[in-house]
Amino acid sequence: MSGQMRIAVFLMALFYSGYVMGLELSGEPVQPITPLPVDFRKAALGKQLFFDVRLSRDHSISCAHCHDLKERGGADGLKHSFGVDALEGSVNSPTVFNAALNFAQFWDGRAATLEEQIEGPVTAHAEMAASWPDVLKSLAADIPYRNDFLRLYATGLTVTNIKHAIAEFERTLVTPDSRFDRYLLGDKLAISAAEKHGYALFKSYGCVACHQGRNVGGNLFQVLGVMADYFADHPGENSTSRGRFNVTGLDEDMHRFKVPSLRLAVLTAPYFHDGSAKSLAEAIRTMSKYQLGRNIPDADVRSIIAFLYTLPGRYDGHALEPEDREQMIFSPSTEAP
Amino acid sequence: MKPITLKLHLMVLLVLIVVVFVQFQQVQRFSDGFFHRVHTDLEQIIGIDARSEVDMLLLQNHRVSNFDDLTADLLELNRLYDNLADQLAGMVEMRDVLQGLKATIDAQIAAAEAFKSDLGILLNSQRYLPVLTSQIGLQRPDMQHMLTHLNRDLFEWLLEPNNLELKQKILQQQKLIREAGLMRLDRHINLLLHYAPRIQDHVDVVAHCGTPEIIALVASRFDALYDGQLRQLS
Repeated sequence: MSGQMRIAVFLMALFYSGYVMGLELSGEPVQPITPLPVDFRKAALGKQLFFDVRLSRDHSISCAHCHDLKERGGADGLKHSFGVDALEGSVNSPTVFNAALNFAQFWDGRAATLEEQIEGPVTAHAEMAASWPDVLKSLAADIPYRNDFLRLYATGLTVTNIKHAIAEFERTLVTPDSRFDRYLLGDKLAISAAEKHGYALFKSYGCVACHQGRNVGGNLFQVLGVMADYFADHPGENSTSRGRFNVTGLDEDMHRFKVPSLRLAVLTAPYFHDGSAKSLAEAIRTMSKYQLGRNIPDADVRSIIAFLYTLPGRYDGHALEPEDREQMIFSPSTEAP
Repeated sequence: MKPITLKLHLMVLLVLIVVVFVQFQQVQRFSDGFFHRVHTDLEQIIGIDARSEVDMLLLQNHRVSNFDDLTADLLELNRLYDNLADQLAGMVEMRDVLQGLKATIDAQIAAAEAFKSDLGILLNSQRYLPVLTSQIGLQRPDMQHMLTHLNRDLFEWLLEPNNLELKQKILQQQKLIREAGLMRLDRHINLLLHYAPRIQDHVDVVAHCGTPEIIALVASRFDALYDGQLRQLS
């Protein structure tokens, strides 16, 4: 066989194996993230707004206050977030990364779109506590802002357009190209054998029943406490613990929440709507008790966490996956196997 | 000319301008583009309605293992309805059929959302049952025989949930499980018995909620109105 022929055969074999691998993994519960279509000029304007403290009543905080894109995986690392006048909110702040992939916004899904969601934090008493007329007034006094809006939106600086611009920026906050996505797309070596084992356990224990799809969650509501009464064991929480019931008023929606995405989970402790789980190990144990009705041994918890470390992708040219593996270090379980 | 007659003339002129403006709007509204857009929306709703049923069946039969497609289709269904309602806003004659369509779509979405949630719970118990029964069997060899039968019966009943005789048998076995203090297994059996029929009910609701029928009603009402308006205008 000539040299050229050999190279051609080698390349064909390489492409074919990648193709077969891609086909095999297309049936996986977790799917790779693809970027969303975005108007980048509007997104750039939205980015300015996202970091603009004039969206809050006393000009002290911006959206980034609770959604730290650099250090905290798009969340704030607190049990409950704090708003203006250091008022404590009632829920744990979810990550803004990949929020655009969620089928609804907020823990109770009360906003159908990102645009609708923005209304909440800007005007909520314990968050930015602003009023839209005040926000419009202070932004309108900023000539470059006003000109940017006039250039990009036919109707100029309006509440609707402010919301749209911020939402457009949030649609850029997706995190494709994680190691796990590369594995799904055919790169067998993108994740280690231990991480593959963690994924196998993630499936076999049934975590994938809720955490699946491209966002590894964020596409259904689920009751918290299928196998045991979570709220009896965690008393004293506020009305947000009623979950989706607050939106629909239906008994069957009591304690039902939007399943959160696990894409950035390794970076966004503490966990759950109430921020009660301080670490991933604690969150996995809690889920296994209240949702799965089974115990997961520590070694398997560690393997699942190893898999979760493969999920953060890239944003703004940087890999979001942390280099340390601090979530892998945890105290042994005290529960009987 | 007396001032009162002038005022009267002006009022008549104003009324005529308003009538011409309304007629112009009607002509604009009932252009070919409008007819086409409404029918495109209606056809797309029928298409998405059918696709969401297929999504559910694929999930139920484990041919698909994530909810992304179903979720996207439900969002699209809502979006198409909003689009249609915007286009037909102001047509009083369409209001009742549009409300009917909205109610049908809401019922379909509610059933599909419940389906996702319930399927997640059912699959977990289904997945865990053989593991749990074999673990208990190792600790309680005296129960091994009964657990094997329970496993088999539950598996069979999940394939054939209308088999009442088999369900009765499972309930008797469950009583023994409870008496033996095996509460975790008891809970999983409860979940299986509760959620399997619910999942089928959700599929039935989506399959029989009548979206194509109500779409046909919306289309025929709209066509009749459109014809009437065209005749009036010509």
